[in-house]
Amino acid sequence: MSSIFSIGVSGLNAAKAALEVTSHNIGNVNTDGYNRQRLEQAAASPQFVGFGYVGRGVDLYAVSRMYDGFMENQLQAVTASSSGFQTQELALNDIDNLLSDPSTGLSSVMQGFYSSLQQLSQQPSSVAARQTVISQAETVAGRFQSMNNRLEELRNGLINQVGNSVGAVNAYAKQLADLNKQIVSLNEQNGRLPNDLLDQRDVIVRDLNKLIKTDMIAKPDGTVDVFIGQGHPLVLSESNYELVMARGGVNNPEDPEAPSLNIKLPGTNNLVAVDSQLIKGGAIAGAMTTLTYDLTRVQADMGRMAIEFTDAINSQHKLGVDLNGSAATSGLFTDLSSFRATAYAATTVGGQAKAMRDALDNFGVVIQDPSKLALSSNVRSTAATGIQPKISSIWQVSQIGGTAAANTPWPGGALSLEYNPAINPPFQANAGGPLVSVTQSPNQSGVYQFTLATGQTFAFKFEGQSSTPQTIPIGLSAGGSVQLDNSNLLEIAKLQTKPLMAATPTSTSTVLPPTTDPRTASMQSFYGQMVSYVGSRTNVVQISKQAQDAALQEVKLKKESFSGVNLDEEAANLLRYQQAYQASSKVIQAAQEMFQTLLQIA
Amino acid sequence: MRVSSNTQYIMGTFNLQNKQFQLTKLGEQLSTLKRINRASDDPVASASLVEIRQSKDINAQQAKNAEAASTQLAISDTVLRQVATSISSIKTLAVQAGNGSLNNQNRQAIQNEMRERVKELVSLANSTDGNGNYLFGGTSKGQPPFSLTFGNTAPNIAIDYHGNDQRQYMAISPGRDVAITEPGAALFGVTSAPPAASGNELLQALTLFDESLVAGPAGSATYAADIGKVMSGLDAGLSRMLAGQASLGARMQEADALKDAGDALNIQYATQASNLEDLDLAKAVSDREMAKMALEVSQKTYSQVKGLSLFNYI
Repeated sequence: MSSIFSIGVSGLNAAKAALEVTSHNIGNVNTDGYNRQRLEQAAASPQFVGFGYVGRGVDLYAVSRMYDGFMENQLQAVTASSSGFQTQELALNDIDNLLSDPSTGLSSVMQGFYSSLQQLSQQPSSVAARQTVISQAETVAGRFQSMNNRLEELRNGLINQVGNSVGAVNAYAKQLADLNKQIVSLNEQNGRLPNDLLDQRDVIVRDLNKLIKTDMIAKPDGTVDVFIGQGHPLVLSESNYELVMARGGVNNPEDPEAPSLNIKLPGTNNLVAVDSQLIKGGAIAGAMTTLTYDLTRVQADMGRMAIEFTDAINSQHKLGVDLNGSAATSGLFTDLSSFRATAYAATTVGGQAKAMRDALDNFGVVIQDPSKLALSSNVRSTAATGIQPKISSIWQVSQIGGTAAANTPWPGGALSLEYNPAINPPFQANAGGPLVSVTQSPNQSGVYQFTLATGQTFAFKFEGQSSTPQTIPIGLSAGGSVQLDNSNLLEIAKLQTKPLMAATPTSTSTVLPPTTDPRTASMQSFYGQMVSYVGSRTNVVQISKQAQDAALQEVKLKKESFSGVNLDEEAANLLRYQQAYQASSKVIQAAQEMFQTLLQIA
Repeated sequence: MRVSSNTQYIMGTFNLQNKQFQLTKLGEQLSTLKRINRASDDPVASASLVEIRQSKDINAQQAKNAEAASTQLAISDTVLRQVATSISSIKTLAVQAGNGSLNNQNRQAIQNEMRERVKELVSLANSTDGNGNYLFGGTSKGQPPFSLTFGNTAPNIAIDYHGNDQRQYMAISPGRDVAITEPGAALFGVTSAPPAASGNELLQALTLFDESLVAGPAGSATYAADIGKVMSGLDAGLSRMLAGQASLGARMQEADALKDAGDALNIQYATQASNLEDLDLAKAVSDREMAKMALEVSQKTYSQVKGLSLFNYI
């Protein structure tokens, strides 16, 4: 009789416990990372009573969570890569908008500068038109700088983001170590683990993966070890290691601002570098990728544009003569060529990028006095007027990427054009040595050119002819007699469409093309390539982000279908266990009535 | 498949977000009427657009240059026309002076008028453009290109050129610079002083005319022959003006033609850019309607499914 009582009580307890588990599930329906729980029960071992085994009710042996470690790992991995792409997408969107927007990009100001030169070619001595050129040059310099400032904001923002994320990673690692400790102390063996603490730990690992992709290894005692990169430990059961963001130093010897990730060995100040490229996801990896590849490349490209643009303009400008007839003493823009030398001397991409950033910082306009713009040629024909043929214009042409000698203004001396109607073109140049041949310009009609043994190249136009050979002396144009000569200005203006830029290499070990690479792109088409590079990178990252979001969605749903709480199911369980509870109560009531019956007999 | 209560929520919000994103994107395209609003929308076309815009801007600038060059050339042309008139009137005076029945007073009157005409001629040769730059001084700006002094002894008229032979150019198309000035030496000559040289006929004729008028047939045995020389010198000058005008006219024509070509090219560049970046309006509007409908359907489905629960019945 008493066994009926105890069977009834075990049923009552089981139903009550099941109701508690069900209520717990209902209560946590919206808890992040909650895995639904289930009461594990089995029939108690039976007792032999002569005729056979009689059951002894129900035994409860665990509350288990519906958890699949494989799904959890998948979820963590996808969370990491989705969050990594998100960081990249946000940064690249900014760069993309900056470069594409006509009001913030370079196209319009470069065009404005060259248009002002063309305007000036109509009135080369007009001080107002000269002032416009200087103002437009300031605008170009200002735009390069403001674009770079925006890129610097992004760069510093990403570095700060890495720094803050590293702090958060360490906080999470500490929490994980603490949870591991708690879990070990609460482990009741035989798989009876504190489920809700395990869920909580998974949520922390998932949050950690939003920052940095980790590998998690579960151990039999219920704790987990967490590693980053290529097996660098972050949490080893109850202890955690510190992640440190260092700047410059041994990892980036040439760029004191560049961040790097390191693990600090416990109890020491020794740092072990973690290659950020081996971290395959998380906001930190996303930020490091954007910093290392995209921002570095964009800033290096912009720096290179600044250097080549100013160098080309300055080299030609230095060959001219200003409104007062004095030879130019400086370029129009700040000389940035020393930064090019620094960049090419650098052995790391960081060093190259640093030199290019410095170049952009120093971009400015040197000439402030409109009359100092050297727009006239430094040479002219000194033949008596009326001699045929006439040299209607002659000027020195700078050589893009040429030697110092080639770009040195002609110092003067014996130089003449020997006209000979018997040859074609009918000129040779005479600078004292052997006669130098004159060729027709390949891209300018009516323009002829020659290069002296000393390296300087000249171009000239002539008109008229003579039946006899003539010697046309060429001399320096000094003394302010040629204010309306705009040949140096026209040569500067032609730089707009000249190929000044070599293509950026696709290598990851350098952002500079070899100095021997041919220059194939004009400033504008190079800028187009840069815009296109950022556009396609942004596009690729957006698509990857979308794919990862869809994958995340998929894994979340898969996990939900296994571990998630279904309220309808729980409602049904509620009814079911309520009914079981009532039934067990009836068993006890029946036992009591049987007892009463016996007592009445006595 | 087992469905958890959160499945509906996760799927619902994911779909709603995607559809809202599509709708926003189409909305942006419709508000700018552009298919490409940033490089990532179409990286390859964006690079082409940067280049097309530059070509378009350069082309527009060169069309402007061509117009300015044409205007500048027209100023010189007008002046040369006046110079030709001036030479013709001097020639008329030379014809009068050839009449053997003139007395000293008559010749004096001719000389007075002739000197006025010479002053007019030199002042035309020293003409400036709207910015005070000499039209016929080459690239020199410092002083008037031609100096004129009258004397009572030979040389009675001295005219000298102080400019140079260089020209000012403007870029009116890639690879083509057009000269917008005429050096005065080529048009008028360099000096009125002997010896006789090709190009100086006009200026020397003026001096000879003045000296012949002072001497008269009585004072000079070669009077008639000299007047003949004066006439042929003036003719040579006149033909130089006409040649100059022809050259200016040819360049004006070239500049005008390039300007028209530039305007036509401008339309081509605009079309090219439009093909790359402009929105297919009909398609975008219908896409947007579709996206809007899809969003509405998702919203409705979500709210309806959310209302289903067993708890409603217990």
